[in-house]
Amino acid sequence: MSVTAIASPKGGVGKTTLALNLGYALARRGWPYLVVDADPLGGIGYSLAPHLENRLGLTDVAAGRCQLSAALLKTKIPGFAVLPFGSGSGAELNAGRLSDVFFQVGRLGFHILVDTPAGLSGLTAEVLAASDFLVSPIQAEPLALRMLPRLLATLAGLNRQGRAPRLAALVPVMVQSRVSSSVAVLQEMFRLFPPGTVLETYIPRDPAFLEASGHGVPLAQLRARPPAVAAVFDHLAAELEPLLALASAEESDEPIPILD
Amino acid sequence: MLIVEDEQVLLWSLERALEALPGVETICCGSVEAALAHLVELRPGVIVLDIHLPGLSGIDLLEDLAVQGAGVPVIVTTAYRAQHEQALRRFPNVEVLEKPVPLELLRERIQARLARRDRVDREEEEKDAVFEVADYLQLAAMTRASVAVEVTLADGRRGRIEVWHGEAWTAECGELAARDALGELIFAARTGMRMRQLARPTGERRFHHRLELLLLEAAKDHDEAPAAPRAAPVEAAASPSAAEDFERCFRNGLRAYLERHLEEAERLFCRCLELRPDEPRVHHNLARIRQTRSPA
Repeated sequence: MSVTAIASPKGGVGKTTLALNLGYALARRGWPYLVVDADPLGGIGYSLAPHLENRLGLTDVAAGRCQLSAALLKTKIPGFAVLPFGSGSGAELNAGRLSDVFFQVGRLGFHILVDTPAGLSGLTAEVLAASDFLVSPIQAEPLALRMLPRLLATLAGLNRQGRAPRLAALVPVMVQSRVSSSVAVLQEMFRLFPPGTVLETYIPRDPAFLEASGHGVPLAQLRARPPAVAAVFDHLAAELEPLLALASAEESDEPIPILD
Repeated sequence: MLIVEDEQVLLWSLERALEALPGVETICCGSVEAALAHLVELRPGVIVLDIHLPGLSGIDLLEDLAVQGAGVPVIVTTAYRAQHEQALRRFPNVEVLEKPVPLELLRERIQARLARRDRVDREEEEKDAVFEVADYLQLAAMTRASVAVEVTLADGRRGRIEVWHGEAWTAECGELAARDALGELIFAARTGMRMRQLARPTGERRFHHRLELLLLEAAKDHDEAPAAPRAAPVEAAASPSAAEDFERCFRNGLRAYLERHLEEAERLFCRCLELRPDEPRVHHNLARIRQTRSPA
């Protein structure tokens, strides 16, 4: 079992969208994934189940108000589940309690993706301290680049305490491939970071995200023939798989024949 | 420059013709295997490559370079251009010349390639850096990356720090090596910096501590070096607790600076100044912090 935090120094970059769609894509590739909503604004809970107010969730399990099984939302997708934020305020959550909840989730056979609040202090820092990996969406705009040293400083602080997750990848998001300044930032990211840190897969700016969010579904479930941008998350999942140490000893790495 | 060619007579004539180029040092190999061994240590500005070679082919070497993301320009010389046209099209930064290649043409193309590479290097290095050298090293450690951070100092010296799978491996800067070089490359004024992927470390491991600790030690070394001739602190002699206060503030200030908590670092160093107004290390650090916060 591994815990991957989705966190970013900047708000509004699509962390919730990334967590939900990436979790879905990883589950479709055969890795059981639970998306945990650690954002008090409850993006994932509201997105998937807007009619369920004060639903039990992470804060309730962490504070011992309910069992994990009572709070966990199973989906129709095999191996894909969600743990909403819950009825608490977030004050119940610290790295120790989060680790306890994650341990319980691991016993159910799930890997974990955690959606965090905007910024890197407070609750996000607690989530990072309880995580194995960090995937950070970085908006393809100049301001986002200038904020990256904040991310680094937070990780360095955690590292000093021996609690930093491994920075698995930076994912360029909201990329506008026809806007030269957006492409320039993308190129700058490739230049700045160690090779392999910035993923080849980028998430474009696309109105389909709003539509999917409005319906409370991952992009691939938006309609029977999902929009082209939904395939981006399959690409992303495949690229992240080795970076998140997802490997199965039993699986064969040989080509699979298409004829009997 | 690296020349990979298995015909000995041609190799010698190429070596003689090309080593006369100004500022170019030539290394000759008869096979891709020998070239790969050299590439561990060398970072050639250009490679002149034959395709048909004993053992691995020139295409294999191009694939290896592409995997490493080396970005080194390659001039392929082949008598079978049409046969390899499609395979060669996959590789960027490759120019194909058909054998027999007139030496004058080869010299001209090599010089053009080297000039272009120098220009790109200079332009990239001159861009404003978002991170300090210490930041780059921490990034490499956090991502378990294998990289070489190349630094050009303001006095013209060039240095290199290697990180292998996130562990600090070696550092060199002119005649300095290991810890001395690390401190110099992190703290001396620089004009350029770039990070390259590292296929393999170029030498024996020289560091055996976590990068965080090495950075802290480098900061201490650097700050204590110019402090040798300073006057004995009167306040410290008069009051041991003031001396302890100073050391604690100074140590925490360094730590805050390394973690880029610049406001906190500035506050702590200002407190140090209250305790020892003439302490050059503190003045030096405050100047650095203020320069970082407002480079203009």
